[in-house]
Amino acid sequence: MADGALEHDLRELGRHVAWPAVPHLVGRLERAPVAPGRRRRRVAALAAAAVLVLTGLLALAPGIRAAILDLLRLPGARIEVERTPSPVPMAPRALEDLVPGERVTLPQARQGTSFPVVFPTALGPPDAVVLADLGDRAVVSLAWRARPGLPAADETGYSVLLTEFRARPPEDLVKKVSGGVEPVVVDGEQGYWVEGPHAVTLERDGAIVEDLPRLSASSLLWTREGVLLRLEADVSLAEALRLAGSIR
Amino acid sequence: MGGPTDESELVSRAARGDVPAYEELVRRYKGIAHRTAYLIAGGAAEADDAAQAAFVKAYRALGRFDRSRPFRPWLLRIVANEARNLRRAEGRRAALELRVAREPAAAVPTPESEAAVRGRREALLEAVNGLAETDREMIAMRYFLELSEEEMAATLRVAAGTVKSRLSRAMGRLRVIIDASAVEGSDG
Repeated sequence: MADGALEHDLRELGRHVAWPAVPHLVGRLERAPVAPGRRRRRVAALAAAAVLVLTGLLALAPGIRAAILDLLRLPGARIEVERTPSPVPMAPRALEDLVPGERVTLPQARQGTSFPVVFPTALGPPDAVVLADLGDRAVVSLAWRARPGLPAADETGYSVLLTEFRARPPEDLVKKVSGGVEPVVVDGEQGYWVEGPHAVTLERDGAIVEDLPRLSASSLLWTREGVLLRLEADVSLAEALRLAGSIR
Repeated sequence: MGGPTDESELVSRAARGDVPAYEELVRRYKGIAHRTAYLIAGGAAEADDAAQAAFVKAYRALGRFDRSRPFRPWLLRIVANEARNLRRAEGRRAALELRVAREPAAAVPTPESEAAVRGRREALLEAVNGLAETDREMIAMRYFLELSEEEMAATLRVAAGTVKSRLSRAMGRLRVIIDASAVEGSDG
């Protein structure tokens, strides 16, 4: 093998290495006794209060981290891993109860957003579309009804639910999980697969958009060209990755 | 790349105690910091602790940072130091084994089958995993993390020429492993 070829192959391989998930370092720093008298004021607001309590615990006892929780994040989303599951209400069934916004058509959704609205070509156009906010702050959710080979998830009543919004800090989407979270690579981007039912909430600038976390089916989270994508379906990881791979 | 705010501006603000500015630096570099720590410390939990400690230490040391120089190699030097200390403190060498990530099948068919591409990546990674720790570190930093030789020199606290020669020796040994496994493969 020529020199250049091996180097090229190593670089290419480097983009496909399964690196461990990067923990929530910022939150821990907020708890570190850094510049005296300075503490972020905005921190108080949200459900992140709970996060800080837990990250404080981490700072005190790093050795027991694995037993308590870990935090995984992507631009636009934060996954909190808990030892015991948070109680979550029963799943509502109307699409507007599951995701924020109003019913629109796909062209209307595309007009209302500053990012391209994409969907898995393996599924075809969605059966329903919901849009919240507009432009850069838009949140678009696409839903597909049950079909052969893709049953409706108990949690949503739909076979597949795909939510998209511009990924930016602080994270808008918060998931609380007690089961398995697996780092995966989707389209060369870091992503996470959350297996089994878990709680999910959407926050905006620290304000919780949905009153209570809702129960979510298994979901795949990743970013694509600066847009956070969340694909929720009662399917295997392989099937979720197949659907994700057909997104255009 | 490069964010909306200039790095040196962020560093200056952070040095004055602006926590959000430092958080932005953490956001930019936590990925590369965590992976560097992982390569050196050998485990995910150790990498968490080393990266965390390094970011706290770097924050406290910002006043001593020469702002005419790039921030990333300076940070990675602290990360590498923390990761090494942690590994020494643990008193063991965790068996670091890099793996190939699970990925969806390509939507556009490639001339080669997905399985063949994956098999090739796995074989190459196995060869890298088979290297001695220092050789693997050199190759992973250069080609997987895509650090420049200058950045590696700063991170590892060695001369640029030393990085060049160590890297070249590591590549030589990697080729030996690859050739040996190719012979083995054709035998069996």
